[in-house]
Amino acid sequence: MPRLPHSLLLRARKISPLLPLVLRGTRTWDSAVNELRWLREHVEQTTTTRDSLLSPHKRLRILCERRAKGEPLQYILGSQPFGELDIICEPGVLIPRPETEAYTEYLAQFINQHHVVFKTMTGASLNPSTKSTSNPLRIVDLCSGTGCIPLLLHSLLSNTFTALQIQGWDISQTAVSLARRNFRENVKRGYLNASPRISFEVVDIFSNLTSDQRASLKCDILISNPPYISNESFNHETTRSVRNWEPKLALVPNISCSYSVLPQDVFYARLVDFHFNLGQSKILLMEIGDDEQAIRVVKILMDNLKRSTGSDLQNNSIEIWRDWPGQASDQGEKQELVIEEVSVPVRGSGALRAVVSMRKSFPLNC
Amino acid sequence: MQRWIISVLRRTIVSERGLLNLTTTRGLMTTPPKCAKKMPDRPKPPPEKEFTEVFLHGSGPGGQKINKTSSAVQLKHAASGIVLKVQATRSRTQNRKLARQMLADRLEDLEKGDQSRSAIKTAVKQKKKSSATKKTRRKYRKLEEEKLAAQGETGKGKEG
Ligand SMILES: C[S@@+](CC[C@H](N)C(=O)[O-])C[C@H]1O[C@@H](n2cnc3c(N)ncnc32)[C@H](O)[C@@H]1O
Repeated sequence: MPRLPHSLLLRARKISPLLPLVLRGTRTWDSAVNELRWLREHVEQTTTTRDSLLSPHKRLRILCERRAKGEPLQYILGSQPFGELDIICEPGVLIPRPETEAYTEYLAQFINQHHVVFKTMTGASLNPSTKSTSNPLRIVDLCSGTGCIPLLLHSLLSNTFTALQIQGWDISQTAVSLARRNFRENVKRGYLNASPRISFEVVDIFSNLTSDQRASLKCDILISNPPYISNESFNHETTRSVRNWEPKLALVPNISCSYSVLPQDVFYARLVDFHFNLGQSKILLMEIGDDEQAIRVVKILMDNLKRSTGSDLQNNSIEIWRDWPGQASDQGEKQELVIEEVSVPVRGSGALRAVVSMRKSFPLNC
Repeated sequence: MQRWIISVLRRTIVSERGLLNLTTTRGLMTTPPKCAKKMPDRPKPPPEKEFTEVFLHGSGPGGQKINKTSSAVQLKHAASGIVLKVQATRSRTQNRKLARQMLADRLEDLEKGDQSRSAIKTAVKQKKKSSATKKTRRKYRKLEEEKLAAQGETGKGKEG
């Protein structure tokens, strides 16, 4: 990690004696200035905590010192905004990322735009009065962490779909407990409609699934942000704050299994298996880490398509979404990639961030 | 203790108002309700087609490898040449809304000059400021905060 230039620290000290501390944590000027402001606002707004005997200035200094050691701002403040929601963040559970927020919103927008198609495919009702008899739109999020994806999908889809059934699975009991708390809190604050059908369960997706769990996977939409970092990149490409403070279980796959793929890709092999061979999901969306992984995951999908008899390449389409799938692509950003002689459309701007496989039962342009 | 809490609360309101310019002014001791009434309606943002939006983020890996807190939003309005950046809150959703409102305000400024809502607001503020006396301590705080915010504005928007 390169040292911060002395001149930068001096410049920071002139503005506030606390800014150099925050700068040590953020490593960039802009974020340091923003984060110090947010920390100050946080201290000013929370006057009832147990350490309220300390002066606000003292409390602010303590928080800045924690940030200087690399502790993520989201753990210090205890939350991360996600769409219209506020997600509680605690050590032991991965902090939701802005890219995850972006593709979740984009997916919801896509489903809302094609809601008629989705409703006829699923038999979900267009009419609120027949709510009880209609089939719900069913979504499963694998590796759900804080629960940010199921909760945001619900908040964005519940106006269009009167019946929704969303599940989140995670191997970690800590994560599942936090997701349930996030669910309750966001309902309590009025960010989610009353009594939504969302559930979180402890499930190891590599274990032998129960028949109930298998039935759950026959859903309409399968989505996942699984651990996808190799040991090598964990050591060299993650920031100090991620490496030292966030759970490795959430980042690096630690599975020995029979899939013949790279260790960092095992979750994708499992997800694709679920999508084609177990479930009948219309959409499978998987977050990925970089360009090479995107291409490898597309190949895993194509291999499975070729092998499985029922579904072939003609009836499925594969897309890649960038960090900001809703934005126009920048100059020089490719809008398609040719992988194994098949042209794969690439949407949006930024780095490659998600691989999406859809059954071609509806028009694909949003 | 009590007084201390009140002063903190008031400071929060002042600083948020400075940053967001959205909080309603009603109910605040410093702003009598009658001038809230005089204020013209907030202008509507232009249609989405008329401007482009960029989420500012640095180069680098992104995704799980970094837990950035940047939520900055930039809008460019080609017809008027207005470019603005909003990073007031940690929520990108919130910043996107604020940015649209700011764009609407600036477009109205261009169109109506000193009859625009924001011009009237500034004029009202100026008047109040000159009558203010014993607020030096609070003012100092606010200045410091504004200085910080301004530093942020001129930065590159890079995120590490
Ligand atoms: C990258 S995090 C994603 C969390 C959340 N979906 C998000 O986007 O913020 C990956 C999650 O996968 C979970 N996980 C790891 N191995 C798993 C397994 N075998 N089965 C189910 N979940 C697993 C971890 O506990 C972690 O919460």
